Amino acid sequence: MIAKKVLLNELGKEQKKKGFVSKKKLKEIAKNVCLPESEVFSAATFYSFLSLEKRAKHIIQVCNCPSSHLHGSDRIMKYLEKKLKVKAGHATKNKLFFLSETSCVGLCDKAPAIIIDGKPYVKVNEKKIDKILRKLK
Amino acid sequence: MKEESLLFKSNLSGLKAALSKNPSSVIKIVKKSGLRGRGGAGFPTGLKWELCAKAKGEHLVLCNADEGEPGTFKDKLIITKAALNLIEGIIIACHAIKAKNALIYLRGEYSYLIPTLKKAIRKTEPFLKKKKISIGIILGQGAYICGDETAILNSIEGKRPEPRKKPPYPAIHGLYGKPTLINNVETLAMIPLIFLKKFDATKRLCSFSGDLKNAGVFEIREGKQIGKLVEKAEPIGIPKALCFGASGGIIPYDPCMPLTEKNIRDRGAWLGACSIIVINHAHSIVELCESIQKFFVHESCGYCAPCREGNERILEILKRISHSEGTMHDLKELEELCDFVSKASFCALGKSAPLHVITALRHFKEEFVRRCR
Repeated sequence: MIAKKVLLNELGKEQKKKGFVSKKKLKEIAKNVCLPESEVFSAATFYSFLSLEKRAKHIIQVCNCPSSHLHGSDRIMKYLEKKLKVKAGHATKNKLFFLSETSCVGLCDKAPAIIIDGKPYVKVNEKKIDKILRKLK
Repeated sequence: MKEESLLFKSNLSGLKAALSKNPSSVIKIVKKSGLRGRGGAGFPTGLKWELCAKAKGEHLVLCNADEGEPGTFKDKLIITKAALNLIEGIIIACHAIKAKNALIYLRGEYSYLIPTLKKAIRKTEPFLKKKKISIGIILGQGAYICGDETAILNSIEGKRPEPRKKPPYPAIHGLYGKPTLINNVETLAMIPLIFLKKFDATKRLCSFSGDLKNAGVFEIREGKQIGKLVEKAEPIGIPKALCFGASGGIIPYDPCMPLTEKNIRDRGAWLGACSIIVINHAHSIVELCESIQKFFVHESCGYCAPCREGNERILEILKRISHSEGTMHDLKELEELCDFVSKASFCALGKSAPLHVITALRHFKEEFVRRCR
C-alpha cells in the first residue's frame, strides 16, 4: 500500500501530535521514508500547515477567500489583531495564540470563517469571537 | 433546494452493475456517457481512462480531493453526503484500467472527513477483497498548487509540490513513473450513476456563495438563466458581478444570460470547477481583485519567475490603486503585466492567476480609473 510510506502523512501526523516537526524528528522521518534530509526539509517548509518550530498553543487562521472577503474577513482580522495585540503572521508574547490568514477553507457558504486548532467556526462576528476566545484562555 | 437530494445514492448497485461488465466495455460506456472532468479542465473522462488503460506498467488510480479553488465546496458536500458514490467510482475506475492501488488526496482543511471516507471504504470491503484493491488516503497540508494534476504527484512522492512539464501526461507517466488515472471527486462520484442510467451530462454541481442569503451547492442544468439560479440563492442587495472562483475571472451580472461555458468564455472568463461568487453593488471590484491577488501571491509555488515575481508586482499596483495612490500609468502597466504573466507562466496556476484582473479591467475599468490620479 503506497499511502503508508508517504512523507506528507508522516509530517502531518507529527504536526498534529506536537504542533510542530522538530529537526530531530525530520531526520527520523527522512530515514523512514527513504528520502534525503534536504528533500524532506524542502517539502516540509513548503506547506502552510507545517512548521519546524512551535508557533503557539492555539493557532487561529482567518479565511481570506473572496466570499469571506465580501462578508468582512478584513474586519474580523483587524478585530483579532487589536484584541490579541498581535499582527497577522505572529504569535502573542505569552505564546498562547498564533494569528494568520489562510486560503479558502471550503466554508464559503458560511462566510466569514475562521479555523482554530483545526476546528472550523463559521459566520463569525466580534461577539462570537469574544465568546470563543474566552473559552481558550 | 435541499442539499441532501442533490445526488442520487447508488448504494452499491452502480458498482455491482459495472463490475459485471468487462473493463473495455466499462470504458466504452463511460466514454459514451459524455462525462467530462469536473475539476475544471473538462477533459473527456472516458478518453482519459482509455489512454491510461492502454499505457504499459502498473496502473494507479488517484482521486484528486484537493478542492482548493476559492469559492468551491461541492466536493466537500459529495464526500459528506455521498462518499459511497465516490468510493464506488474509484473501484469502477480500478476495474476499468486494471489497477490494484488507489489513493485519495484529501485537502488538509477537510481532515474531519477522513472518518466518513473510511466508513464508505469499509462498506465496499467485499468488493475490494475480491478485486484485491487497496484504497489509501493522503492528507494534504495546505497548498493550493497541489490541486494541479502534476504537482499532486510530486507532493505524494515527497518532493516540493511544483508542477511537472506535460507531456508526458500522468495517464501515461504519473506517480513514480507509473500510468496514473487522476480524476476529481465529482467526476468519480458520477461514475456509478452512469451504470444505473441516472447520469445526465447536462447537469452539474455548482457552489454558490458571496452576497447571498442562501449560499450553498445547487445542481444546475447548462443553459439555465443565471438570474433564476441567483434568485433561488436569495441575493443580498442588487447583484453587480459574478466571480468564478479565484482563477475564473469576473464578469458583469446579467440575469438573462444562459449559464453556458461558451457565454462565460465570450466574456473572457472561465467556469472552471463551477463556483459562482455573487458580488453586489456595495462592494468594490478593485478591492476584491486585491484580495484575490493576495491569494495568488501566497499560493504561487515559486518555480517560475513570471508567476513568482509577476504576481507580486500585480499586487503592488493593485494596492496602490485600491488606496487611491495609483496613476493611469500604473493601470497601463497592470494590463501589460497581467498579459505577460498569463502568457509566460509555466503551469495553469500562473496562467490563470491574472484572469480576475484582466476580466475586471475589461468589464469594470471605470472602477479602477476612478481611483487613479
